[in-house]
Amino acid sequence: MAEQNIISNENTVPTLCKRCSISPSVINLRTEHLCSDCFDKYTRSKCIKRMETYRVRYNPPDTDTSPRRLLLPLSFGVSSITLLHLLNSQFQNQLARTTRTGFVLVVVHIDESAIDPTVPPGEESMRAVQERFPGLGEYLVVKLEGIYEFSSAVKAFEIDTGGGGGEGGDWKEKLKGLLGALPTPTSRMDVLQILRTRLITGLARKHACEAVLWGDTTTRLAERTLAETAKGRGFSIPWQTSDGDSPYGVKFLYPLRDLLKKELAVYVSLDVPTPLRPLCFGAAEEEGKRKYAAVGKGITIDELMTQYFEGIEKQYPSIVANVVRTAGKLVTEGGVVRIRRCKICGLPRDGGGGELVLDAETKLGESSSEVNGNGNRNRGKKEGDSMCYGCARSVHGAKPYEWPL
Amino acid sequence: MPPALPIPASKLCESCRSARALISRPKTHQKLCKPCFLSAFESEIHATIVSTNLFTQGSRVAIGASGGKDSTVLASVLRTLNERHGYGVEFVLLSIDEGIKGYRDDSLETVKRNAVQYGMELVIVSYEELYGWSMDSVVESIGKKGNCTYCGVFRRQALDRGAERLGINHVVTGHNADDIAETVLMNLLRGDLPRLHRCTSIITSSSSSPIARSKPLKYAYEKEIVLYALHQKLDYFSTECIYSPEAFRGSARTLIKALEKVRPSAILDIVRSGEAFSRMILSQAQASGAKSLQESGVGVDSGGGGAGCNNGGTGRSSGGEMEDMEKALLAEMSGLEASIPPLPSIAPGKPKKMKQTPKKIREQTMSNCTRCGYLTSQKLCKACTLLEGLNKNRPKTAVEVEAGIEDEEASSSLRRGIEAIKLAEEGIVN
Repeated sequence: MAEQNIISNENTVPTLCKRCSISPSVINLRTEHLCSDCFDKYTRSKCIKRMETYRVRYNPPDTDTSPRRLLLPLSFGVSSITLLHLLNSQFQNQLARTTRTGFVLVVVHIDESAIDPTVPPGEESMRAVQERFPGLGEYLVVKLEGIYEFSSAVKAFEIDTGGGGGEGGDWKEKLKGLLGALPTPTSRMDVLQILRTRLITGLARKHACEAVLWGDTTTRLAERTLAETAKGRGFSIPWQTSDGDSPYGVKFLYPLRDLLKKELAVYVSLDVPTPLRPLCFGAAEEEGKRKYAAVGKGITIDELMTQYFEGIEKQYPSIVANVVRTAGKLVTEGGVVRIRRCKICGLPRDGGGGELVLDAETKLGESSSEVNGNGNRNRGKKEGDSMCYGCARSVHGAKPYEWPL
Repeated sequence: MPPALPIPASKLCESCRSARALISRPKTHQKLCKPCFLSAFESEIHATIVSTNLFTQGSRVAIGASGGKDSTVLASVLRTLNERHGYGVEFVLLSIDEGIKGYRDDSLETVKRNAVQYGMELVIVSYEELYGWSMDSVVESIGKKGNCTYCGVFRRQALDRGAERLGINHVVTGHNADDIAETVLMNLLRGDLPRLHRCTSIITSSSSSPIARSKPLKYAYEKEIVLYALHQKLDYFSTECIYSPEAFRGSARTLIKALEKVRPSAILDIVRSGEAFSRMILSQAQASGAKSLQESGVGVDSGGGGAGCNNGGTGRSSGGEMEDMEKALLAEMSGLEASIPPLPSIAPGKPKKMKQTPKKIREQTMSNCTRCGYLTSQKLCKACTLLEGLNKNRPKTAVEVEAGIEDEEASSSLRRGIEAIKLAEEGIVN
């Protein structure tokens, strides 16, 4: 995977690093060839630039000089491990220079073994990571079904009491039931992503973190942009791709937004300055999923976009960056605060998905019989009204289930 | 009265529950009988027209007709709906004759038959008469590369002039949901905010043209258009323009088709997202870039597609647009090309809306072309500029490269006609 991105110079004169002109180049960054040391510096600078807000604070002008608490979701994939590593070196630098730091981390791994038993629970991996980066802050593994813990904080919605199952049921079973009720792999992946986000932001609030540091690369943000567009969530793209306040009551920050996925793959493969590969426990799994998705008919919209941008990234990396830049110019209508929130994703609604069923004939061309064919038009109407269009689309045709939030 | 041979419940039309389902609707995968499909298709277009107040009683509206499936279905459905719902609109067919032997001459025959079948007046405007050049002679002069630019510029003006000649200020085109979804994705990939802002509007009128363009098939799936044409036994022409190359659109189109397979609603969902985008673009960004657009004369929202460009490649003739764009972006990044203004970078920790600094926008004043009188922001309109080059037998390729814009929604699809018919057959249950 990484090798193909490394410029192989075996049969030609080795290209020298354009910055130091001493060492051989290991990567071609669109406009310049860099050696591993210079590439390391480059990568760090990209991340540090985004972390500007979290430098060490001093007494005047700051009133509060305590380090800010930031939550870092860790999937053990290449991106989040690299981000952790980059933040660690920034952290160590701050310590060395000032004996203080501008931030501490709450590193969280979401254990999804409830819905996929082949996924390791993550405690062991987390220990390995913690040993490697001690002193950065806290390390937690939280089960995905823990999302039900937050249901009391937010009003619990019930789409339909599908008989039994209801209150006090087993969270794990509830979660499986919910995802199992969804009609397609695309819907499941979509809702899963929402559950993760809501759990992570819930944890951030619980652990008094002011921001979530997402590991998304440029490539990932471009994928997200097009995938959300394709899922009818165009309206929510700023909330899912931009740095700053999110409607979840915590800030979002994407420190790796200026780095491509393929660049991180090379970075990790270099083992410079420190080997990161052994910590990327999730990377093999990512790889496996992708292959499976390519052959299986049950590919999802998100996976399709991942594949699409993998191709684009190889040939046209600037176009990938351009998509993200374009997304960055979209502004949310009415800002972050809007009263009407979607009961599923929690984002301010875009006029809602009500018309999915209500206006079917005019807008979506779904004949009314599909809705009232089994006599549940009212239910459908109510559902659509309290959801955004994208969520209404994802749960359209779902079996009865109970929504945790 | 039960039928002699009862139809199993699973094979019944999901709408009327009485006839046997024959069609699986591409949009929803609903199983419908033929009459229910036709009526669902028509009533959706009617709903689009009514909800957007597209037509006014007593007006005359031109249908940009190429003889292809989109515009043929559009003409047929509009005639049906006009009678059924009493729109009180007089529809006229407006065709452009680019002068391409073996392609346009044949498709124009189709349009002529349509005019008789639908009882509509037909006006044909030819490049030859307007500009003194047919596309065949343009290609002879400048070669196959880059000629789509000429065609696009000429078509846009020809449509306007044709409408003017008819005393009409509204042209409807056959752009469908697939075309629009394609355009939304394409504009995201190209980072074209002004286009992203406009490309989903049902109706567009701009300062550069006195003629409004609209897209009543905006929510209609290409596959359903083919099915409709098939079941109504419509007379349409399906051949690709002989000069048509595969252009930029290819990438977005492939993606759309894959998305549609994964989730049939994806096309509509993209249109929906595109509609949201159009409200999410700051007014400064909406206007910027308008200049190059005027200059190029092509790519204004509805493009010329409805009147016949099948490939969408009005801007470029080679498939290297993504490459060109990559190069342009790179150049921009390294500051080599001063002509492209640097885009504002994202400041950390600040919400998006804060960092949008007002960009200098070249205010453009529209005036009439000193040569032909067409609206333009320059001294000469784009067509006259191109003509000047042609007439000197010195094509001005540099201009096109800078413009680099093609049709927003190429009413793509004659090219795919055959394929689409195959799909249509697949769409028939049992």
